[in-house]
Amino acid sequence: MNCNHDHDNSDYSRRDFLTKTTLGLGGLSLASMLNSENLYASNRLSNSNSLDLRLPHFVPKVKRVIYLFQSGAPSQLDLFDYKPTLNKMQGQELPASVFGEQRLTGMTAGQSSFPLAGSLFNFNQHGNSGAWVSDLMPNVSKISDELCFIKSMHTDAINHDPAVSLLQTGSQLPGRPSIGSWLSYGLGTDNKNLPGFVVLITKDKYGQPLYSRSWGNGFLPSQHQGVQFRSGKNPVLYLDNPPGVTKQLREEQLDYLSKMQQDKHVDIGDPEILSRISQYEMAFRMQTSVPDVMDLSKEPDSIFEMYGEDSRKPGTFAANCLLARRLIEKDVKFVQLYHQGWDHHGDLPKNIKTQCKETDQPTAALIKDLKQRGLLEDTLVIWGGEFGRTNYSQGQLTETNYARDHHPACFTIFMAGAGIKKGMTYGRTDEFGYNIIENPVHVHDFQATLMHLMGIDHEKFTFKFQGRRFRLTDVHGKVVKDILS
Amino acid sequence: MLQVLKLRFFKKNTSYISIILLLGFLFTKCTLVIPEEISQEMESLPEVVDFNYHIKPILSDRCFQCHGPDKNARKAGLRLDIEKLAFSKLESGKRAFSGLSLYGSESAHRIISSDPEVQMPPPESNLKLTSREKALILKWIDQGATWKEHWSFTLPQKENPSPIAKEEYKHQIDQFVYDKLLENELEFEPQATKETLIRRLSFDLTGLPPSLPQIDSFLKDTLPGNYERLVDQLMETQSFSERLTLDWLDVSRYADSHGLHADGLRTMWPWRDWVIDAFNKKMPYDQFVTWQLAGDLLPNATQEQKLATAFNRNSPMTAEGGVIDEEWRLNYVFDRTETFSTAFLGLTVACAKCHDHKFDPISQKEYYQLSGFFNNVRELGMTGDDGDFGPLLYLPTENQEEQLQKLQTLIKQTQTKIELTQNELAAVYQYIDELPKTSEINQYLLGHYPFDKVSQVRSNQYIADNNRNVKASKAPKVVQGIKGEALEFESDFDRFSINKEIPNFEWTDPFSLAIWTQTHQRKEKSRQFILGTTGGKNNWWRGWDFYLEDTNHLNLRLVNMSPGNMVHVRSKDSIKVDEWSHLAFSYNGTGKAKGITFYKNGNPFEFETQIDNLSKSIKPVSGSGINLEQRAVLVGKTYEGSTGDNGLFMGKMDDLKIFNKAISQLELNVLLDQYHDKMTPIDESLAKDHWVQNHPKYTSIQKDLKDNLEAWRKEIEPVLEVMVMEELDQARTTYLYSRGNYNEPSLEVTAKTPEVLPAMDKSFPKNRLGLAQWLFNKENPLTARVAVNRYWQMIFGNGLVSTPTDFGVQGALPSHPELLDWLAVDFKENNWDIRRLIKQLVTSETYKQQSIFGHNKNDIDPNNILLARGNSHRLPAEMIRNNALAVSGLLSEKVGGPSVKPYQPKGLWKEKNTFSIRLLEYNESEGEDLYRRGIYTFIKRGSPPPSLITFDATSREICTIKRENTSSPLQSLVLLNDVQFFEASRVFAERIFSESEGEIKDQIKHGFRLATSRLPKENEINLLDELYQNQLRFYKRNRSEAYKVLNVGESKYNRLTSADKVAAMTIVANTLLNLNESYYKY
Repeated sequence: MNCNHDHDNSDYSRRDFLTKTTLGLGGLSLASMLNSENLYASNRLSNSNSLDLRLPHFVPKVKRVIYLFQSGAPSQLDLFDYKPTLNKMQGQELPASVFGEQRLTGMTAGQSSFPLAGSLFNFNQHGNSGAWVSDLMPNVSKISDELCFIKSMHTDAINHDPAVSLLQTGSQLPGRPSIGSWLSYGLGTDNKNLPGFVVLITKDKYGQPLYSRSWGNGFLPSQHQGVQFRSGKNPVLYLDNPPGVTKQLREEQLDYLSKMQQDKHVDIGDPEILSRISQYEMAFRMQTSVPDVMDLSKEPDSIFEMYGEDSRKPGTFAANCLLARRLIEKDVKFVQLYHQGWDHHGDLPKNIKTQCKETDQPTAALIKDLKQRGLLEDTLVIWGGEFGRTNYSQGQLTETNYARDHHPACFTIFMAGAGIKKGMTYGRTDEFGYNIIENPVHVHDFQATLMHLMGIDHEKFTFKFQGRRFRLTDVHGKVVKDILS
Repeated sequence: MLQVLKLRFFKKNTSYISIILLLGFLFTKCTLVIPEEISQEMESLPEVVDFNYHIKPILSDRCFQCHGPDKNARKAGLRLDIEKLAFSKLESGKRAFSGLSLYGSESAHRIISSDPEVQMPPPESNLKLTSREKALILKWIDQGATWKEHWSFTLPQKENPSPIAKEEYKHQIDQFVYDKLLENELEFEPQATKETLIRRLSFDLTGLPPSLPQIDSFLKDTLPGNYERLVDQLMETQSFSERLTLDWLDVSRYADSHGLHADGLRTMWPWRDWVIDAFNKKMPYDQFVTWQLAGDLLPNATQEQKLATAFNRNSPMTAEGGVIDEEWRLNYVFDRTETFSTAFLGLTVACAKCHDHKFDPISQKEYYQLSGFFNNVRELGMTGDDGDFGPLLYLPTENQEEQLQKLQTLIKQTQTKIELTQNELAAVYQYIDELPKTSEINQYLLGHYPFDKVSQVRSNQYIADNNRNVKASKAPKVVQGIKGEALEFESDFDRFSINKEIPNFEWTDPFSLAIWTQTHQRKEKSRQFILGTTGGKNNWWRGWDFYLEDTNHLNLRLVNMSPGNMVHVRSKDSIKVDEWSHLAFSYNGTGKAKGITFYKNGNPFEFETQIDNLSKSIKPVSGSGINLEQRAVLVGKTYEGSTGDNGLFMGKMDDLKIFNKAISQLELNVLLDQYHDKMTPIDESLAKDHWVQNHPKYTSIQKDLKDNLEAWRKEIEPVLEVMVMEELDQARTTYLYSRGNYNEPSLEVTAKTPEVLPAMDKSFPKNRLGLAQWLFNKENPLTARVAVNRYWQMIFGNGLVSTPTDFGVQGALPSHPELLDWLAVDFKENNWDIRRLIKQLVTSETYKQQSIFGHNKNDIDPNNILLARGNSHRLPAEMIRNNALAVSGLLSEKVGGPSVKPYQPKGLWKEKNTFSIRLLEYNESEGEDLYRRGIYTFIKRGSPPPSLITFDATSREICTIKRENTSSPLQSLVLLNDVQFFEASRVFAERIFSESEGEIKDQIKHGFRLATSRLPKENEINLLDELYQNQLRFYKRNRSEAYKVLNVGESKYNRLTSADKVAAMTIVANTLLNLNESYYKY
């Protein structure tokens, strides 16, 4: 007699589950929830969804993910997708046949001319795999044999807000859960003292906006939203005790609170009270575990050197990469980093250098560091933005300057680590770097593949909301099997 | 998890299965082999299997994907959502269902088969049936397969509860609930204590805890009717309206920011205040909703009725540069369509946007037909980062209104005076036999740009005519012109800007312009900008511009904000390509289209008025209207950088002249004569006009008029505006878009309601007003049910239909269908009276029960669906905060006004988004505004208030009917550490000391009662006392720590009690606020 089963299930299991364990945040995973199915009221239909929802669906290759999101959309043409034709045809019009039906943003649609702009940066092949990487990324190029480049990513959206939403939540419009919250909901957490889904944002960077919905829970229960760890005094909102309240005082206070709550539970039997007690315990543990994990002071100098000098400054991309590794070491399941500033509608050659300087070394260091600790075997690292950039110049093209507009028809991302083939380049674009000519990978395909690596069949992993079974991949998405190891 | 179905011959001789087999033999002489796990399930099935309750949910959920309303997804020609088709013969010759025979029902074979080729649902669908579901279907067929219409699409009827229930209980709600309890052999719990009741009621009706005097007076009142009196008292408060508003803001996705991309500032709070006011005025639900849907379309719509329509402008909007306007404009239309459907019909139509609905009988066409009601607003897809965008409604204060009226009267008087003077002068007109001299005209010339010469002054800078104020970054070609040379514009960057010389006009300034142009293109979807100052989206397009649109019709716009506040005229005829034209306009500074005259080659050039709605300033402003900006006149290109229409003019221009008065046609003739070396003969009527308009008597009154208009403009400039709905004069065509893509319109549709519901009465207009009338027509089966269910959910925590947004076939069935229908009918019969409905709910015994968690009941009904006890749950985010503020005494009772910004950790807005200038930094409110009720907290959608979000408040991006109710460690951190809660704890501690004397234990008792509304037990006092004494010992030794505690928050320590005591009591108070009892409703 009830159809919104998932919802009710979670409601019920929440109470039930928490009375039996001390797991708090994220412990409320679907996998655990199913155990309580038999406690369902007998006058209700059992949840058909759950038949398919025992997670993971199969043995996962990846236990944890670090997603280095490059907000604003880095130019694939200046970093990875080497197109000498553009240099040869510098300044010439993009042929109409290549343009095809591609719609343009309002920022360049009014241009009278679309002059091809070759990259000003040198490209070389690297490693045994012969991957093309430009001089902008000297460190990444050195580890290219660890990487799998997908040069045939494409998306539906031509603007940042809808494109970021599509990539991070599966829909161009607000309202859906983010990738991390799906994973938290489905797989729970392996850590008792830290959230399962952590968000890190490069400090004082700015650029295209970030939106809470990118790490929000959408229609999933709110404990699955990403928890932002911020550099500075109060790393998690409201984590620090108020001024004048010492750790000992707080501990004592919580002891008394717990006693009173337990008494109350004896009186009225509300299982929520017990669940709350465990939430307070976890909160208290977080007050130690979060500062601990964020305290980089015990890292040796060699590590700082590896990640670059920036890594000593809290809140930089480099420091966040290092922090991501520390979180992964503590079994945090999904660490989502955001680095803004890739939206180069003007002065691309100058601006992209800054961006690469900030990201190249830490990215490479993170992958090497994970590898040397044996963590890369079950951790996946993803690097990429929300779409690509045009092969023609936005605004005036000169010998030393150009800019590139948004380009949804192709872009490059790379991945490294568990479950992914090493030293591979997948997919190909035409000589103009405008259209995909081999093995296109849609955003939903990417999401399906990510889910697959985590042991989830994206088609079976659904949540019923407002009468409809929602998936991260909407009604699309194919696992890109060719890149799986 | 998948159960392996073992097919084997049935051997056990259980009575039920024998019957099936026997029936099979009788009718078909064949057998159907029932696997054991299914036959076991048979044992526990209800006696009568009901189609709506048991079967339809299964069919819809597991079968409709391929055999439902979506014609494109349908397989084997089988459709199971329509009775006739479900029972008819299929292509294969078989029938899916037969009421006569289990064996003759193909579905029966298929659902029990383990052969992947035969099995239904097929393995690749990822859908499965449980044994119980299979058993239900088999039993239903066996019982004759009786079909029923979907429950929510039939009209609700009042049915009678059982006689026993009627005898036992007076209240109808209790009677219906009791009937269900009886069925399940359950009993009501006894009434909760009076303290619990008043606390429960107080939160449910006012969002606030009861005060101690309220509690005392309720405890003392033992006369009959005391409870009802309390209910009435609470319902009379302003807080009751605020509490109802809280839920409505979720439904309406109300927010203070636009939500998408820049997520800038919008001003919708006057609408929020209207909602509070409407509840205050006890507005019936039908009127409340009708105004919001169609207030503007009501006859002689009042300002208040128009304001109500802001409901539909709460849609998120984007200002992201480069987006495609139509794509996003349609997204707002769709958002309204979906919000309408979810909020009022309890139907989720969103999936029909891309394809026919998979489950409910709503086709893709019907989705777009419904969208037709909301597709007729003149609005933009891409707006500016901050600000409110048309259609807008002025909301002057009384004083402003009065001033504006006065000025209007004055303006009318002056205009009459002008007319009289005109007539008077015309009567005494003396024939002038000579044309105005060029020198006379030139005294009004602000700038003359012959465009004869271009010279380079720097590597990337060129100037025209040796004038350093006329600049370009690339050099246009100098070609043969009308008079001397002319400029030819060819590339994107050979455009000139005229700096300094031409002032930024106000619309009260008369001005005129004349120029020679010759273009060689006429380009689809692209303007050719001759010249002007209008800015980009973030400058709200403010300024004026003169351009050819894509069909080369001539346009002039004076813009305060597009597309609402502006004048826009367009010539009836177009300009020919490859031909020199002399184009000119004169404008008289009245802010009206009729103050404009167009000329082509010296003759008036007729135009049509597109928009004539200018009131506020047209002077250019910097981003988000922060400052006035000196803006150069741009020639040959717009300032627009993000709409894809930057208005490149392709062709030649020559001899531009700009005047600071409305030049007469006679003057224009003189100007033109210069190009031809000839004298136009004097036209007497033109001469007369010219003479009158330049007569000192006339110009002096003109000056008065200008002053009056300027005074009026200045008065209206600060008047508040709110985004509302307003229909276009000419209806926009609505399309069905393939796959929901704005660029794939595939079929023209007209506004229409979904066919599964009773049709719209022919007498209703085919617009939003008609839609509202249809919604509240007595034939509509959904409206009242959906509303009643939502209010039930507000009071009881869960709706009678637990899926309040889905009354369709995928939704939950009502737990108490007769009760839901009774309430729905009763609600309609009693004038949609919201208060009466809520009073019914809270005066029932069902509501008054205590909420204990007895094991017996918990096992039978863990989610308390049957309502055999009171429901307890965590309070909504805003109420948790209200509670802490109220208990401490910090809470402000102020009602309405702009949203406020209480404490929030620093930097959260800026670290995510730096696009909005107005919402870049979160500037905390001051004084009382830090302590307002939760509904007044500023909601920025892209970065909503973290302390509220942690407790499941929403970001208001979409219509939300039911919030999650979760618990997490982060919630504990908020209650323990958030300044708001810790400051409240400290002020609460001070209050405890100042209000109660004597022993510490007595004081603790007082505090406990304030926090929970009840007196503590002995052991509770002892525990808290111990805690207090321990903490006190610490703070006595560590005074400086105590002072730190006292300094948390903006409110000052009152110094009535010593610092160490207050600090220690603060910890106790904080503990009290962290008890479940403080922030849960029991």
